[in-house]
Amino acid sequence: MDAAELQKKIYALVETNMGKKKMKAGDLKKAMVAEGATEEEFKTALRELVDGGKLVYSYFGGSFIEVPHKEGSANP
Amino acid sequence: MSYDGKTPMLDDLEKGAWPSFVKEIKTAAKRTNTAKDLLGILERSYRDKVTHWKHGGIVGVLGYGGGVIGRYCDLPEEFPGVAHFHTVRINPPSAFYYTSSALKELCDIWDKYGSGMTNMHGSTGDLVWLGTQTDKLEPIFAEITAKGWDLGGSGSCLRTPSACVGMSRCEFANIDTMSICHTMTHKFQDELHRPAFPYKFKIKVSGCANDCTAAIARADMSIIGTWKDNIRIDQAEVKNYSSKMNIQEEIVGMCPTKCMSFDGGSLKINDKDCNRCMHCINQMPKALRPGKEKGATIMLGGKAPIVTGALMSWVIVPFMKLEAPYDNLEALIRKMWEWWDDNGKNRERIGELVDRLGMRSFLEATGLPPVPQMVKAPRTNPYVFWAPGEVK
Repeated sequence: MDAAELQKKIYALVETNMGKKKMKAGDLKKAMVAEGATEEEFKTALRELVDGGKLVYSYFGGSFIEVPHKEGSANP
Repeated sequence: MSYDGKTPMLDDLEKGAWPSFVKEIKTAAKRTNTAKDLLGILERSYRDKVTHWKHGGIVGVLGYGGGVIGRYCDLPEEFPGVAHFHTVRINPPSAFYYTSSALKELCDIWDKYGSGMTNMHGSTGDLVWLGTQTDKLEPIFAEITAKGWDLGGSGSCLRTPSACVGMSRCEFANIDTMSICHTMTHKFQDELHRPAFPYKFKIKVSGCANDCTAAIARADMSIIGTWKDNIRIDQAEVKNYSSKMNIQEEIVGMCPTKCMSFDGGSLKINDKDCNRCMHCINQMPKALRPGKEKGATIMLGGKAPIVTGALMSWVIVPFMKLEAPYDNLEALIRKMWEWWDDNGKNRERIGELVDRLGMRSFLEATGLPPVPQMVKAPRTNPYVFWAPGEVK
């Protein structure tokens, strides 16, 4: 799968699930593999999204992938 | 109510002979407002009988999903010094070997950007830095990486592997624990920094069954040094020990598998029945030594009671030869992760998944043969069955 297209799909999946379901890296991988990406392509695409700051890891009872935001508990 | 600097309840914890964490925080409080307000909020928590910390789940450094544990307090106006109080985990050298200059280097960075308070080491094995602000995280990361250090693991990833001192200073080491730990840390950089597992995964390496890293109770994968052949006996030394100790009572009588006998002159061991517990070798190190064919027992599933109850590790490979670059170990770990990744639920440790799906499923996925050492308790064998296709 084309790298840019894969990144768009990953981002869209995270964004559309915001507030409904926290997506784990494993959830995203399974979804993208089902769409035809290889595991390696997925890993590279996710890494580029995170390294570029478009997505971030979060940790609250497990690690998730989220769109960057100011979290509720953060003090000013 | 503003904080008046008085800590009567904490002061009580400075009494007695043991070193006091209150005394150490007070020393740090002379230099930083973070430590000063840490005393204040802790006194307040003792008084209110409730914690004033909030979890911060999104703080970290760019590109990494672990290594920083976010903390905020719920009274930032009253205790501004701990409005942010994030923890930074530094990946230590194998077996926690530091030169004094390396420690000074790390402490200088921490004094520059954080509270100056450390926890050496956290139960995962990282060097833990306690208390910094969000805007200091990237500068900290830049400085430590420039000097060759790295963050450790946190979240649903491979946690920082840890090892006992092994062959560097222990005569009982059957494997090169430090080399294994160092090599695994390098092989699994992606898994350490970019959380992709259902939950955490810990690897601990002990050179012998004395298990100085307590891997059996704390690690999802325990690598315990052992030997395959016979215990080496020096009968002349056995005789020397017999003049100083009651071998029948203290050695033979305490052997868990009753595989030894002592006739007053020489010690005999039925090595086929020995479970390599190390008791006799610990008691008579001059007379008894591990065999020459060395390797490791690989165990699975140890964990503390977080989501579900505590589990002790379970043997999956009774003996594995371990020599650098440990490709056999890496291949096994990757197979285990693949099965866990395919089947694990969120926050399900690999040992819990084995409990839920059965050892048979695990063995089929990893290709490991079922062996008697896997039987967890007498008269239980819940996982070895003939599959329908195997019955003729």
